[in-house]
Amino acid sequence: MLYFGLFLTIASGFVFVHCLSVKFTLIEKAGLSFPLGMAFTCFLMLLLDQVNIPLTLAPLLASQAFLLAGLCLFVYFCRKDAWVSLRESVSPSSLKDVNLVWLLFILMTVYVEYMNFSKCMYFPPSDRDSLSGFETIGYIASQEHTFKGLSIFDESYMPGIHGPASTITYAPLVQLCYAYVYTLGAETSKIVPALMYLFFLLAFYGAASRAAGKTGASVATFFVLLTPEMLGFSSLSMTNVIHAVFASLSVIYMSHWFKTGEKKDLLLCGALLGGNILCRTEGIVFTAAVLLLLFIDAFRSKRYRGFVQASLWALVPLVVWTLYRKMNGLYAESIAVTHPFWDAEKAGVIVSYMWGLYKNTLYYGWTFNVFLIAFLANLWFLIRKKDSLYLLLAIGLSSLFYILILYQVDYKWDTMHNVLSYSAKRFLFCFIPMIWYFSLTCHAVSALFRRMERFLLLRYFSRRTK
Amino acid sequence: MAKNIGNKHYRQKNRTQARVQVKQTKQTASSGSGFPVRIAKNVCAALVAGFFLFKCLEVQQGYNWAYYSLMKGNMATIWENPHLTLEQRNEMKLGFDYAYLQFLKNATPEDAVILYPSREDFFPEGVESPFKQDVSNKIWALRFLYPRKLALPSELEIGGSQMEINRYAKDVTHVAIVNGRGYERLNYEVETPVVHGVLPVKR
Repeated sequence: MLYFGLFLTIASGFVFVHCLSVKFTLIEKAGLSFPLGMAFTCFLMLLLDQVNIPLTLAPLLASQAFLLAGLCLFVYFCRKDAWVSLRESVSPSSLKDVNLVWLLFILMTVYVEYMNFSKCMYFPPSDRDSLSGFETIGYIASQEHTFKGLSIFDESYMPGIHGPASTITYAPLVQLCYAYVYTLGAETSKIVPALMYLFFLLAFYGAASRAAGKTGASVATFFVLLTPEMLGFSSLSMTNVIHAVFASLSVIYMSHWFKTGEKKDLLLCGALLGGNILCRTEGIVFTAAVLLLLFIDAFRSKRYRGFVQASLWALVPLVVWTLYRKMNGLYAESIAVTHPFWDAEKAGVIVSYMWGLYKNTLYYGWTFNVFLIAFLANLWFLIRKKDSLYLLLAIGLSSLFYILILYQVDYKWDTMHNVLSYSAKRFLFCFIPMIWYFSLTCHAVSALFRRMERFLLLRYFSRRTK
Repeated sequence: MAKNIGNKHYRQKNRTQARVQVKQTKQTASSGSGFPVRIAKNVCAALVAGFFLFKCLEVQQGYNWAYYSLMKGNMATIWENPHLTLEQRNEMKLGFDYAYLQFLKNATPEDAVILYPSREDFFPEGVESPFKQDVSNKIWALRFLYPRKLALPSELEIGGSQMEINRYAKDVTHVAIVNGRGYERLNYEVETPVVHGVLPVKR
């Protein structure tokens, strides 16, 4: 039953991307299918739970089947060219411009991801944050068939459950994903992070190869995968890497939208932002940064329709989750200072910690070094042609918002130094794929890779240009 | 005037198209070398890329750790123990903490209400404790003990005011013993005390 449920999840994600546009490449559709399918499943579970339908096998699978059927009907009636485009994308001609460098990096990526996937599936959840939060909540939700009515959310059983930074207010996506696979009979919840990272690599490769060619995409994908700290956390049951999947892809598709102006990228960006906010509450920094940039663009061009549609995709999950929490008493003592204040020492400590993280090659490998080189190499194109400007602005703004959040937090459940030393390094996972994506797709670097691709072309170039 | 602008635009477009055609012809000529030459170029480039890749895995500390220790090290463990059960893998990761919780689980019925030791009992000051994980966290422990209910000593009564914090406080059926602590919560004497165990609250 687990495999059937996963099939429904992946299929609904795949068909959803197909609904947005048939023009996404097959790898993009495949890569996005699992994260988006899981986000939809989580959203369905919230709705079922709200109307008191127990989260058991039959309602879960039935609601997923209805969703899939609805999406398929939409494709059948509204996307007449769906089948043709699917056939074209799986034709062998899509492999015409590959070379041995591409093959080397793809093989290395497959090998490392094989090891990572095996490790993830072999070792059961064991990290502290999962077992004292997401993992246990998911497991108990699968046993009690509810989320809002969980016994561990009952104050008379868990006296500290409404205390500051309590698990009761954690965004629900990861917990509900775990509840879903446990309900379907999984031995552990590790199938979720394992598949999430695998599909993310596909999606990142698909998005990057569309913007900068296959060879560059294979190199960037390999280095995203091998980012030491992120690779380590990708096989744990924590939310950070899963959050990074949604947040980074949403910014990447925003960048696609600014480059190509194709509406499909804008809508996909909105949908991924919706998933991002269901993953971790602090995902609001990416929603705010991206929507601000989209609004500025809409304001300048006086075309608001796309912006409104993307905002709806991004904000509806946030509104639903907030209402769900309000209606079911899922609240905790606030950890935020809600009024503006100035504490130079606190700001200085946060900035110096963050600066230390950017420079830490042990955690992030060469990510930030490569970014700096690519930024300097692309400076001319950035100034003259505004190349990748919106992507840089999104990265910069969301980093700034992150620092602001860390500053506004009232550290009463833990010390600021603990949070900055042990948690803040995980916050940067969202930026790793964005930064590699920028480093690859900025004009200076992507032109270099395209030149290299032409040089290494195995088939006659003339055939390609016909 | 408009015609002139139109002509100018047309000429410019033609020139651009011509430039693109010349560029493409040059590219065709340069890339259109024989298949063995193209293979040789690819092999050379792949060798250079491979050298860079493995040098990077050797030299860069983070990548070195990720590839050799994190990935290959864990794969070696997996290949050495391919047929371990879930319980054994849990014990491999969580050690004595998991073994103790499994013992509690096996020794108590599903509807048991366990008086669960406090953090001070698990990690007494100045004493080496066999527990290493966050086992004193109630939610952490529930992952392995559910559906049993847990009550912490701090949730029973406060200062004799009979104010119960945990609604299961009155229904405690078992007392968990760790590091030889917890016997004082039983209402009978134990003849042969153990260091770690679980006992019914009533004899």
